[in-house]
Amino acid sequence: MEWRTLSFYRFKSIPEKDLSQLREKMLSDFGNMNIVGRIYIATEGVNAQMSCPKENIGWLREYCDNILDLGNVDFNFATEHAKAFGALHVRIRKQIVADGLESGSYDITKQPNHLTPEEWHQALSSKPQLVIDMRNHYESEIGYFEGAICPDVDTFRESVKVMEEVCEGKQDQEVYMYCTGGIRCSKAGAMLLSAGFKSVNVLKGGITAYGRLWAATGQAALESSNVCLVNGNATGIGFFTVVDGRLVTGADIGNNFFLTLEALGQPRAAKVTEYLQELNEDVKGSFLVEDPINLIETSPDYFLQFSLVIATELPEKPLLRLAEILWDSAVPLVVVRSTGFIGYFRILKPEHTIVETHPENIVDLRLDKPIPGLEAYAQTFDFEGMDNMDHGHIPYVVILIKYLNQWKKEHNGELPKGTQERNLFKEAILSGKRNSDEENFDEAIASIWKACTPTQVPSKVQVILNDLLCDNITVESSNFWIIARAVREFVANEGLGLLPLSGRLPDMKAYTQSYVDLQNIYRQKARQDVAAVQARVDKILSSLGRSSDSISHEEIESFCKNAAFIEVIRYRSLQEEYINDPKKEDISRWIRDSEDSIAYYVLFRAIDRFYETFQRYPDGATLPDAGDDAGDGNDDEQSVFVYEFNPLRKIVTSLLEEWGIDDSGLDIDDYVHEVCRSGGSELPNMAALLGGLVSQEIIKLITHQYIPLNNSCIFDGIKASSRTYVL
Amino acid sequence: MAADNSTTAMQTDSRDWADRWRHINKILDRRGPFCDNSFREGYENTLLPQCKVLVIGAGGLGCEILKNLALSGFKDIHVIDMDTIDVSNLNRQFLFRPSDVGRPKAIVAAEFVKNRVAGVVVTPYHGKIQDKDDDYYKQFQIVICGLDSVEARRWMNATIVNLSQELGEAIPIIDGGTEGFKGQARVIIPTVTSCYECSLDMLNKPTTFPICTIANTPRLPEHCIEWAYVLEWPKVFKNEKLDTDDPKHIQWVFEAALERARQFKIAGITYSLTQGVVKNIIPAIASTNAIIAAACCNEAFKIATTSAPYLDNYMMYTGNEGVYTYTFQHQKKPDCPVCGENSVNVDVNKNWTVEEFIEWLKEKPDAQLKKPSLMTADNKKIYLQAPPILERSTRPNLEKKLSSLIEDGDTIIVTDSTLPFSLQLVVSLI
Ligand SMILES: [Zn+2]
Repeated sequence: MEWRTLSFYRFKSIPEKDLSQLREKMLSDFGNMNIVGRIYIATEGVNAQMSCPKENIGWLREYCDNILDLGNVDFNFATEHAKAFGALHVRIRKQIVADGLESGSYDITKQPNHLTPEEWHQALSSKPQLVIDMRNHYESEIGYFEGAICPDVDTFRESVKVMEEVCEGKQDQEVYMYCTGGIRCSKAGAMLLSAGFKSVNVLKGGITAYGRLWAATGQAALESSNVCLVNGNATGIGFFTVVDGRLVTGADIGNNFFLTLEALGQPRAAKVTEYLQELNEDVKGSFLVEDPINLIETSPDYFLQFSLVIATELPEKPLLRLAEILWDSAVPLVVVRSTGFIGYFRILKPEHTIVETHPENIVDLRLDKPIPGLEAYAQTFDFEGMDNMDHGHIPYVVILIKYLNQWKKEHNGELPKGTQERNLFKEAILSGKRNSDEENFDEAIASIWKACTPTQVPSKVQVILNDLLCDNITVESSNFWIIARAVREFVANEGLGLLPLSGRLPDMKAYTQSYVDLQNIYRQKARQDVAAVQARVDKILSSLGRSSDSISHEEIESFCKNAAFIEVIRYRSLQEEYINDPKKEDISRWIRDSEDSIAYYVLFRAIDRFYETFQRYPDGATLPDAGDDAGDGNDDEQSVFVYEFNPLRKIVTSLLEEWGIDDSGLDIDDYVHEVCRSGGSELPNMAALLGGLVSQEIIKLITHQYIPLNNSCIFDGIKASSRTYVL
Repeated sequence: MAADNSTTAMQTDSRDWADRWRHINKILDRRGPFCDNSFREGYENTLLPQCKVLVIGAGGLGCEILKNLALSGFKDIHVIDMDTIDVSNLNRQFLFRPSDVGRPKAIVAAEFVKNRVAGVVVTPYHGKIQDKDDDYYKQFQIVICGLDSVEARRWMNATIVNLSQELGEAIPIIDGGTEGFKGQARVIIPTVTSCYECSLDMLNKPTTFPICTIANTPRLPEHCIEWAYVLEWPKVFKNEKLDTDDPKHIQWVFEAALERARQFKIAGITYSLTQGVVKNIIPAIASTNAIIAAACCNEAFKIATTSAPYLDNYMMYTGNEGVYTYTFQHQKKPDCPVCGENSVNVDVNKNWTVEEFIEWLKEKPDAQLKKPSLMTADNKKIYLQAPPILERSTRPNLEKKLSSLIEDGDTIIVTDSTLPFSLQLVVSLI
């Protein structure tokens, strides 16, 4: 059976005489629903922790709403779902949460502000004075919010005492508190408010809710990001602001799933914000009804408050200006546009560093330069003296070390070099294999190539370590460069020319015990390396006057684990692409390839120029005097060519000429025609597809995980294929 | 005339409003250079107003597909899904709200889309694809699959391909699938292009661990899970087959694996990992779903309107390093058991026992059988998995040499409960 573990509570007045009847009822009804768990009922309400069979959750919902009348109580679902209780208990208590106070000494209806996890996160980032952990000490030992007061207590009664002590006389201060599920804070908050405190804030749903939202690494960065959407919409982020000066049209409603006719004529920015919030209740949004072009001119600094800006439908001039403003402050910009079946987007950011690139395999075994303890451990295996069972379970790492040592002894300490030597080495290992079932020997042979390749700092990483930003560490340096510098120093000193060890051991045929032994040897060395890098980071931080905890240990650990795969991307600016240094040669090469899609890039650039000349985008059907020559389709087609196709085609020619590309003999008319036909239309499928691609890249940019696009992508929805370019 | 186009077309429904279809009509009212010859300008000349489209699955992909189809001008959408909404669906499947937990996905999704997009009819069916017969499936002009199960897709593919062959008219299948940052969208025109079965060997073979590791020397949480369902399950439940879709079964495997991991001090067993190992699934990512669903609907739109050529026939997508797609023509397999010749020639070692032959069949990447049953063309039973009485009576054959039961060049008919078709193997004993 699949289970769901959840908790809920409700403060509500229940007459004392009804309690035992309610208990019987719950025992029988919950029992029928196959629910197990612990439920407390009291004159002040209901508090339940339970595991419920997945298929009965719907019933439970209805039961709580309609039979128990708990007023749409929030179910707090746990992150792990297993059957957490053995049986069903319903107990009558004096209180659903024992606080040790006389009943009536405070007003339970005075409820504190319940902050959602995001609001909580934002509130805490400004480091308030009074943050109290209302859980017991064994709960807070698992982890707590930075700066929180964690009373060393065993019961809520004691927590309340400590709370009263630390809050004494601070009625005017803002108080923040949290517990596991939220119920204790509901009570404690009511006590403080009854005692005259002005602002009491609690984490809604407690750590349970917070944890659910912030489970994955990178999620935190994502949810606390603040994204600005110029004329557009996207999803998956924490806070966003929409800047758009236009009103909702019938065409907008036709294209947007979350807009209905009531929105017609209202500000787009407001409506788009509303529907993004509907999409995800946890996301917070705001909007600004203003023409972004105006805003860029009059208050460019407005855009610098965001962690990322997405721009759609901006003409060339304001776009260049916006790109420049953001570039100078290192705020990433994603430019998105589409017409008909064709989509385009481009990422702009001076520098993007990635530690967690998520390579397929981060194993680093160091067989050519065995780490401390490995050599000695390998020696404990007496190959010849083993029975077949033991022999078939020697970890391949040990097999390789034995045969490498033998080889080095016979070859002046050198590793096998070249195909011929590696084949000889393979023969040597094969000669030790006793029978065809010994997979551990097969694993060893499969790893020969890796074992014979000298371990060194990968050249790509060496380039990063030699970077100017790694040379010149200043107070401005980002954490990435400070750790990179520490790693560089590590390599030059105690690392003996090598990067910190990842510590990851691949799976291999072995007894459980010897696998665990090996794992410990690698892990121990990895921990030592992290400690050495940490010491160097601390030194750098103190020389910069930064506190040693301003870079977390986890960040350093992650850097060390991924050191061989770190990446730095330096994007080209829009200024370079459009004005200073267009990629003429590349474009000229790509455009001659009939399979390529670069022609659409040229077209997007050309329609911008078209706009500058005619103050409108080419659109085959909105011809200025098309109404005059009403007739069959051919006439229409003819006028399209006169009014839209011809001028656009000319612009393409002159644009290519500027780049030194002769377009005679180039097959480009069809692309021009298709763009005229699509007339800047936004097809719902293309919008969804681009939305997916763009939000994926934004997630990468904000979380600094995985490798984002560098730097432009064209998706051709006619051919269903994408191309990426460095432009 | 051109100026009016945007408001005249697609106003067949009284619930339409001015400019509603402005964007789509630009494409539908004007011929493009890449259009098929059969293209006729105007919404009413496309298939959209009458097209009945069937969506299989109302999960992560399915929700996106339903939304996109409705916005693209499809009016008559049907959806099949057998699942009910779980809390874990809420963050990726945007048509569902916390208050929907426990309700059928197909019904909730259909209601949501109907309420949002005026004039669209979405007809849900909460149940299995196998509940429906040919008469049901033949009413559709396009079928879009947004499923995460290989078996269900094989079933759908075989059903629609067979139906198309019988009708003499192809019902296009658009198939989308995602796995983490990877995905694919493809167009199957039965009898013309390759079908799902043709490409079965492109699937990654699930990682398997050697039995002795699982039995004696587990090192990873996965080993403990494999132990629980490969070794312990048959021991405890004898004849009951483990159903990977039955949460009770998964829960049992999870608990057994947890206990084993405790003994060996191995950390990291979770319910979702158990499900992942047993069903061999990789968690879905919302953006990949959005991309693949949109790519599928774009193809449906192009097929229904002929406003641009449709994908011929396969797009692969990967998103963990930049954006990468590979679009190509997947070739039809001449001996595909679904769309190709009826029989396949195979070379078989004449010393093999029936059991060895069955093992070989299970390993064969283009067959992917779980529990094959074997008969000869003249109905002689070689080995049958069910019913139990026949299994028992044919079991002694497992140890016999295949060559003692059939002649060189004979045909063996292979059936498997998960497949809606049989394989005919012409066996050469070598
Ligand atoms: Zn086929």
